[in-house]
Amino acid sequence: MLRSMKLQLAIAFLFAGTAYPGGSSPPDLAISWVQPGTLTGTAGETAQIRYLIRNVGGTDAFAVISRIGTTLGPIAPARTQPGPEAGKSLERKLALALAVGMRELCIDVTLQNIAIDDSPDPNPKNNRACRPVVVQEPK
Amino acid sequence: MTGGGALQLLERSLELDPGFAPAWQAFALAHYGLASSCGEDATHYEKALNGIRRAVKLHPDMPSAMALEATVLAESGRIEEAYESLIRRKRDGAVACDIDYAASTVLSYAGYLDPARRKLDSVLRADPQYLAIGGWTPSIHLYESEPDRFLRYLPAAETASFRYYRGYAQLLQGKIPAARESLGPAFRLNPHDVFARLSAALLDTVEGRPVEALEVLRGLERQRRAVGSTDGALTYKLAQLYERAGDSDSALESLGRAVDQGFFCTPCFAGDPLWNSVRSKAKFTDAFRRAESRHRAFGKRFGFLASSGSGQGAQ
Repeated sequence: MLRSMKLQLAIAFLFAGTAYPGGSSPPDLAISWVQPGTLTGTAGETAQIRYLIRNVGGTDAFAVISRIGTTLGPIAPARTQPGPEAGKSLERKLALALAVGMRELCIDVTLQNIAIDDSPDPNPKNNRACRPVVVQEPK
Repeated sequence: MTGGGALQLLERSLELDPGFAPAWQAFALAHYGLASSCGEDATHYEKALNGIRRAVKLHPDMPSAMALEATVLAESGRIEEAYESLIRRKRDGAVACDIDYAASTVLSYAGYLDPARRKLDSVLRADPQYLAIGGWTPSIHLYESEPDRFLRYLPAAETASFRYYRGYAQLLQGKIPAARESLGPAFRLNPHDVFARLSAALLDTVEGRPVEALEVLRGLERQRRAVGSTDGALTYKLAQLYERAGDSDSALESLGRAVDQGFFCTPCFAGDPLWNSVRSKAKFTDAFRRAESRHRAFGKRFGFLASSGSGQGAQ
């Protein structure tokens, strides 16, 4: 029982995080496409994709990791430092080599803090954007 | 929270109190998830085992840790060691849900489906909510090609793996629109989950896109090889999907690999009509013979009556 209470206290401490200047809210990331909709192309082509990482929180984001996944597998993650300032957006570009079997594209953004005690992203539900992909075989 | 974020917090918890066994168990479970579901490298299995051993050292009668150890060992191909660890720790006849569920899993890998089903039945009699609370599946019923029973006990969870299993069972029932509905959203739920891509490949086969399905499967296979994934049951799923997509050569390669990785469930291979068109091929009979040999050795060692493909076992 004592151990359990100690762990609960430790977790509460971790989630409480550090206080932000002026009592402002922590960084809160959201992602969206610049041009949403189905991505179409031919296998072998490289699609240029733009997306926005928005910080709707009250504190600047230290850094952001973007993890890209398609039905063909993950693509090496990209790190953006500094992350978007409070209330602002950063536009990022992705060059995606299209291939047969690629039917969905998703990007997940994860906040990277300086210290483990910093608050995590308070609303991770808007940290993923997905869109359908239609790839035709070359003629 | 991502697996990495959860792990950071758990490591911090363990720094604060390294003597707290449940935190070691949670640490082990997080590493297990990274290897088992997220397609990350097999060193996470070793880290999971280290975490489990720390938990068990602190709290020797911790059934959830013992069960996780057996599951990790099974997914690493160490089936006999996994079963040995379970019977060594359960000396009385009382139902311990975690231990019995793990035993059901291990016995399924070894092809002893009757005793595996009995273990799962005893778990569900003791705790009807066990699968839902733990996020586990009643896989034994799928191995027995009993989709109705499987779906009756499958929790209504919304993860990529549950959607994959639900869709697969619905296909076995012949309910194609329901299977489409189950599989369609799976990828977006977690694109980095292995089952998200299995769902995408299965959906491709349902919707008549075998070329796309094969590309998805080959991509997944390349990734699994690169990170050293050795779960024979997952490799068997790849084999099934290759066969559904019409690539019997890749299917039989994967089937052989699944056996070598520790999935020697001969009744699964014998009872699945998916394999009917390739049963006479040398690669199938070779894989079946290797599986049967290990299946029999397992039965002899642990006192089960080996089946000749019918799934009958004693004890």
